Amino acid sequence: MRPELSTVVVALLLSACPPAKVDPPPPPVVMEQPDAGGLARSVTGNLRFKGPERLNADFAAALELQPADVCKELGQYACVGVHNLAMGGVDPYGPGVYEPSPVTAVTTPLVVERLAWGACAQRVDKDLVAPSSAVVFRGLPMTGPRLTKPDGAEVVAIIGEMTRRGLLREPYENEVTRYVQLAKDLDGSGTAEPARAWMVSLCFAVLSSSESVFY
Amino acid sequence: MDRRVVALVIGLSTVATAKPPAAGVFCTTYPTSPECAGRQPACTFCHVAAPQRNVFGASLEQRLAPGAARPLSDGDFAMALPAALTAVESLDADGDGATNLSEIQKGTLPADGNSVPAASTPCGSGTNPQYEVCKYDLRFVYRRLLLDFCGASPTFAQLKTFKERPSDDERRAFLEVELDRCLSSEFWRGKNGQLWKVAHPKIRPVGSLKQGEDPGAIPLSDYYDDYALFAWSQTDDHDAREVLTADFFVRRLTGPTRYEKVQALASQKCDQAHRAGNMTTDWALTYFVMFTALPRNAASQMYRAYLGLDIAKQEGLFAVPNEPQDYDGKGVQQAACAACHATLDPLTYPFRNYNGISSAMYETQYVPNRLELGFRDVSPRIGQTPEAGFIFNQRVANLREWAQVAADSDAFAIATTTDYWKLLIGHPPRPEENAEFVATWKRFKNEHQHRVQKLLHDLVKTEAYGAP
Repeated sequence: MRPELSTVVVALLLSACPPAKVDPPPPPVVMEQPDAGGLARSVTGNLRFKGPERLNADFAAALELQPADVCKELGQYACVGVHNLAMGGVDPYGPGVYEPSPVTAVTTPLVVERLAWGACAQRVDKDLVAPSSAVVFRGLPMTGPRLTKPDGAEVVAIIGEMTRRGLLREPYENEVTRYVQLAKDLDGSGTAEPARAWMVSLCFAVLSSSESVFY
Repeated sequence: MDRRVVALVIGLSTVATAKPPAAGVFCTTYPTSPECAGRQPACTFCHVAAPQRNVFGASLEQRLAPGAARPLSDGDFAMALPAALTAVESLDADGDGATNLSEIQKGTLPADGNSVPAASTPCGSGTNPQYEVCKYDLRFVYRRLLLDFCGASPTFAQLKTFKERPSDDERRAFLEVELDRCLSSEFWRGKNGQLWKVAHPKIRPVGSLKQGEDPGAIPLSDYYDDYALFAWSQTDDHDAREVLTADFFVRRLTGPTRYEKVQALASQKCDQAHRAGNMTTDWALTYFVMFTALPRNAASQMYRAYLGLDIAKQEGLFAVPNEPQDYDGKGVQQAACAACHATLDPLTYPFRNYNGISSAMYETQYVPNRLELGFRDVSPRIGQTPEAGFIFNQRVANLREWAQVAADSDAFAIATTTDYWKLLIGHPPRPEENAEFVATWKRFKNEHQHRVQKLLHDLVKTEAYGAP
């Protein structure tokens, strides 16, 4: 056989094989929601905001992105660099900001959400474009742009995966209920890509939560 | 009050508008007050700006030697103050609901209504599946430690493995190892890492004046040498005091970041016999001495940066008798100025021969008789400025002695510990944290011989750090 023909034969044979199936994440060990009235509360309440470097590093690690690619303004400039001071960073060499601002800026929550949304959209798009190598949103049965079963086991598994990655714990009952309901609501909302919208929203809700942003 | 104690605290002072004995007498009266743990209260404890009194000071004044002619001598003042303090203990000068005595004992400010001792809230009942609230939580500490020192959270799997270790002792041992690992990370010690963040307010870089790596528009000096010495002094088994006392330099190597001690650097001009750590670097002399004859800015910045005492806030005032002399004719003997300058001027004298950038002839280095050579026209008495000065009312012959007294002081240990308390716990020590804070800085100074690495191991074991 001529080499070109053998290559064509191999390609034809491979094209007859179904795409490699990526297993969904393991199902979560859903935790019982603690009763708010019986919850032991912190006396010191000493929460600390992660700030630009830690937030960027944690989002990158949770979504398996390169830290430099988590979020870029105008496609060029790292968001944590552009919004460094708003996120509690310092800029000693130029404007002479030697210490972080003691107060939270008006734009700080907006920047945190910008960072989370940008990172989440990236990860979702990467996983949708190449499902066989999906990292977070893997093993989700889809019918075109919709989730095949918005309240299925695979959706619950993704909720668990996102919670483990973003919050380092299993999800509570009410979190699973809430995010499953979100999937159903988006599926019935008439939006063009309900599955994508759900994935980005789930990721955003987890990463932009207080539990994720503070420590 | 024992007259011998009075004599000790007032020395041989003459009548002055400020009352320098006040802080010492306060601490003799209330030795266990948090304000007196290795330091003295600032003048702002009783004053708005000396001699103007705040509400607490005003209530004291009414009871201070009533009927005696004013102004009181320092001796009479020191004798009368304890009784006045006792007389106002049960009052509430700032109306915040806490008595003056309670505020003195708990470390809040009796003249500030916003400064109130925290009500001791007992830990409530209930359960918490995520945190062991009200007590040291090892899992919480693991996550916090990695974020603080390595710059990122552990993963879910790492947290699970940590929790599954056989015992709390094993978990604690693992945390010690992780802390040492993270203290070697680029996030902690690398360029623009956490140590550099601690150093920024001390070194106060100006990018437009930067020479060498990352040069500015007007390259005058390379402050990365200052960061290198600072980072070196805060890492490994190095003595933190060398940030003030070093007669050597440190250079930074990359890939990964390492700090290496050297005897000479092309960017540094001060001779070895006159070096005093980051106080005499090319940058420090360029920026803090600059064009001045008597560099009060240099002295006050070092006092503030490394000893935590801000003279502008009337902290750390130890007035020296017969000062200020005003050798440079700036008018600092006026009543409104002398309250601070009686401390600041003698603090500055040992800097008198360290040149800034005032002359093309002399570089940023020690120049004997600098004032006589280059500043004759400043004032008729400028040449009389001594090189000997005072720090904490202790006479020092030159800047190297100044550096040694400063580095050996409680103030240095307190300031260093406070830097890391703020960085890692998120705020300066609060009154309810005072006992742990005092124990931590004393161990840093005594047991740990000024090793920051060991200080940090102590700090992460405090309840202030580890109780969610």
